[in-house]
Amino acid sequence: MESVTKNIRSDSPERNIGLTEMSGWQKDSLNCMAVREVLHHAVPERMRELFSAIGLEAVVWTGAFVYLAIHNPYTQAEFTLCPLRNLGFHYCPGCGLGRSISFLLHGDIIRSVQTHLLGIPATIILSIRTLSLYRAAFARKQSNKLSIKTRNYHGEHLPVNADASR
Amino acid sequence: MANIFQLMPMLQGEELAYVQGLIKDMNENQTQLFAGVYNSRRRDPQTILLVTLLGFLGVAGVQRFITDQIGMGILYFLTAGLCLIGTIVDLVNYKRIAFEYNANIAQEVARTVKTSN
Repeated sequence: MESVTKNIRSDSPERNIGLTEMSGWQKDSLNCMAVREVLHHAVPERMRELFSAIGLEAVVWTGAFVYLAIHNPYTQAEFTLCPLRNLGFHYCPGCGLGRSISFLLHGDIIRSVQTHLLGIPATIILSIRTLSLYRAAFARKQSNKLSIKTRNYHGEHLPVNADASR
Repeated sequence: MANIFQLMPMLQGEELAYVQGLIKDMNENQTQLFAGVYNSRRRDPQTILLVTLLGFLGVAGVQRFITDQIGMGILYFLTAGLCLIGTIVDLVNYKRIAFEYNANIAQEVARTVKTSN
């Protein structure tokens, strides 16, 4: 048994090609496959399913809220994530919105209003939007699980006669 | 059932599957009516994409207004698309924004068509 496997390993033509004999594109494709493999396994399958079910938008807004809740708004930031600032613009109507939301999440309403007037409305609008995205994703999952179409894409109940005709 | 590709050739992927599910139990007349109304009411994903690109010129959030998300639209408009971040998110996500709106419209139209004749 051992000799057979040894034979296969040493004698099969594919195995005999060492890395040194490979041409450039073969090495490249091997590297590319390795990278893809690593990326594929870096995120667990259930996590990937969850991400694609919730959607990018909800993930981004949730991530932003979590970051702003953890981030300390009282320290002056030494680097900025803002793409406009990084492009060299010095003014943007949304400047300070992140800090304002962060102040609000830390319970400092006065500083939040002082930093940006739209901090509180933005928090309300974004959280409503995020919650509705989660609600729709959850309802879609439920109706998939039941495999009966009782709800539409947005998780609202379908009229009863529509079900009866199917 | 009429051929969905003849009636609505612009449908693709997720939207195609969704509309197919809706018109499954419609007769010829209802399907024709549905296709006509739905064609005129749906938003083309490409329109969403082009309108999102306006965000780089300073007019952000039009994609949210035309898909009935007025609150998000106003927020985007007043903050230059959340400092460009929201615009970039929507640029990546434009198909989903379009489908979310279109699925709602398709549902509404199908319900009306089924009750009308």
